[in-house]
Amino acid sequence: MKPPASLNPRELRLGLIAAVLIVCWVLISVLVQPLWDRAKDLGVHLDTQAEKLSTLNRLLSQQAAIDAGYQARAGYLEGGDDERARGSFLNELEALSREANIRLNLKPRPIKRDARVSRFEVELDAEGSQEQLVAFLDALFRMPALMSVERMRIASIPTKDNWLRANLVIQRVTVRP
Amino acid sequence: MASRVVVEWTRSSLRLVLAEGRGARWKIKGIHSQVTGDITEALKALLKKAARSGDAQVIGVVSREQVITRVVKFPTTQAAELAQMAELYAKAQLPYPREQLVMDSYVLSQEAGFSTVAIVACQRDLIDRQLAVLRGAGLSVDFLTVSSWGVLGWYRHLLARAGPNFRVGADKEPCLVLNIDDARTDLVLINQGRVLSSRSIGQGVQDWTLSLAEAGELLSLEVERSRAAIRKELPGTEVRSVLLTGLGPLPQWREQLAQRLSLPAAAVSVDQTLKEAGGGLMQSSPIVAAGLASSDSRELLNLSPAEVRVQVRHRQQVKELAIVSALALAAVALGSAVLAVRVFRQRQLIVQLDQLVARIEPDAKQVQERTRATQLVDSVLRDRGRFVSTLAGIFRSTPSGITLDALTFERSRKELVLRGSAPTTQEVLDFIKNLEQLDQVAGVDLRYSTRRSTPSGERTDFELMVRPAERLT
Repeated sequence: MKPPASLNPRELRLGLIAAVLIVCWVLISVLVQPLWDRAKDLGVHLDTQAEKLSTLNRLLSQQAAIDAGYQARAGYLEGGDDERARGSFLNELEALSREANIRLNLKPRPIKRDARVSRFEVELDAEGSQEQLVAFLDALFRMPALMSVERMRIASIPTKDNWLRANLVIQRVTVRP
Repeated sequence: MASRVVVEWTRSSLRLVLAEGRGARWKIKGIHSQVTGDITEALKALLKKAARSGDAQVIGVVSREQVITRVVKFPTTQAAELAQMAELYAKAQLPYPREQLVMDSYVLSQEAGFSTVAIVACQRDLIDRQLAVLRGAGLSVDFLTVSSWGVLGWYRHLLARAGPNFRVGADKEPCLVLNIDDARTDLVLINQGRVLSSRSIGQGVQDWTLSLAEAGELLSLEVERSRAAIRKELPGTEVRSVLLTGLGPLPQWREQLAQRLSLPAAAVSVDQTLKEAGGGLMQSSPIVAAGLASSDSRELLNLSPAEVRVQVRHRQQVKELAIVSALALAAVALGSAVLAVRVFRQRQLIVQLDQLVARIEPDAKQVQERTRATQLVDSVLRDRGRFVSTLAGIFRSTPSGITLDALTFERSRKELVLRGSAPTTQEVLDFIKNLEQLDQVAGVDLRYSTRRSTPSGERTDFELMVRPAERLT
């Protein structure tokens, strides 16, 4: 290719350098940079997916043990609705109080629901002799239900000898299978 | 592969030689000649006929008879100092003002800190006229050199091609090469690939209307003159062989010269050497142009004026820049291609991975939910068990003398508070010690302790804060 005659060598060199820089810039902007960014994004996505796959595989490799553990705890997992579970729990509490022969007041609180877990709290006011109350608490803590004690206060009643009053807030947890 | 055009003309003919190659390896591709009238027009016609490459290197030939040479001894062997000394010599000793001269020099020998240098100079007017003709024909000259270097190039070419079959020059150097042209005869003394001395006479075969014997006599005379000049310029240097080439009845002249000079002589005609390149049946000798066409331009004497050298350097830089640019663009293109392949592979991998994940994800999610449910059940049961065992431990550790009035637990505050009374403060302290020994208890803080009188005697009221070892419930 013959350079234009009107350009002297210096101008030609500068022109060539400018042309090469412009072409390189255009190539890099239009082609290389987008490709680079795309490759980077795909690399990150690929790593994430690979990690996810590895985690899922690891989880599936433990499936047998997890299923066995789940089946062993099936008694604590309830299939019914929350309202029915709450009613049943309150009935059980009343039954326990009757068995222990104590006076029991129940104040149920609203149910809090998550995706597969529901929690509701109930405040218990129990009054009775020391033996009766201890028997009630013993029976309460032995209940085969998912339940935790949020607050508990046991105090003697000064005016009644050997007489105790207990105030508890119990949270009942329901996990749907 | 690069290409090259060598242009030479004499009073009666114009020659054009085309070659292809690189560095020191060039192959002659074509030889063209024409009887001269108007040189520029003739050259244009030849160039059209030769169909040369547009970016070919152009070498012009200055006849030896148009230059003057001086052999000088300088007291240095440093190239830079030699160039300065040659420059000073040219200013002071040559018969023309320096600005009217174009010159170059080359080293003949170096010994004991001294260099014997040949200075070759040509009048600027002659060079400009030569350049004007070449430019008029549309050629951009890269190089102007002297015809003697063409003879040297051809001699080397001959040695390289003929090898051991050609004995005269190879083992009998210094060799005086006589190139007999149509209107000029070059006499060049060559030793070890270098021009030691050269002469030119402005007569060739077209000028000799003598008999063969008389022409041979004339040649012998010229050789003797050359030998005398060589002895004067380079004492101790003797011609050891003669090689005749170019036009005319060379074998007869060779015999004549060998007899007259008592030197080994050889003759190589144009037909023998350049036949296949198209120079076999020419009426003028293409030896000089062909010799230059097959030479490494770095070893040629350069009689180009400064501005031509600058232009050539600039052209070279532009060419190098173009190569670098092409490489840079190629690198960018290659990098893009590699990136594109990488992106394509990554996409394929991602599609496969997505399919795999989508296939196993529902099962895995179910397993995950079951794990969470199991963990939740375990956590609630474990916490309740710990709470109950902490309570049982506290009750077991309570001595009979101590009365507990109240027990308060708040999960959010992570504390268990005991309030009661004891007969003595010491018993309270003992009770604290008992509690601290329980596994389920991390520590016990005494919040207060007060002595008070009761109907049954002195009692110590206290309040303790028990910090469970682990989170309760």
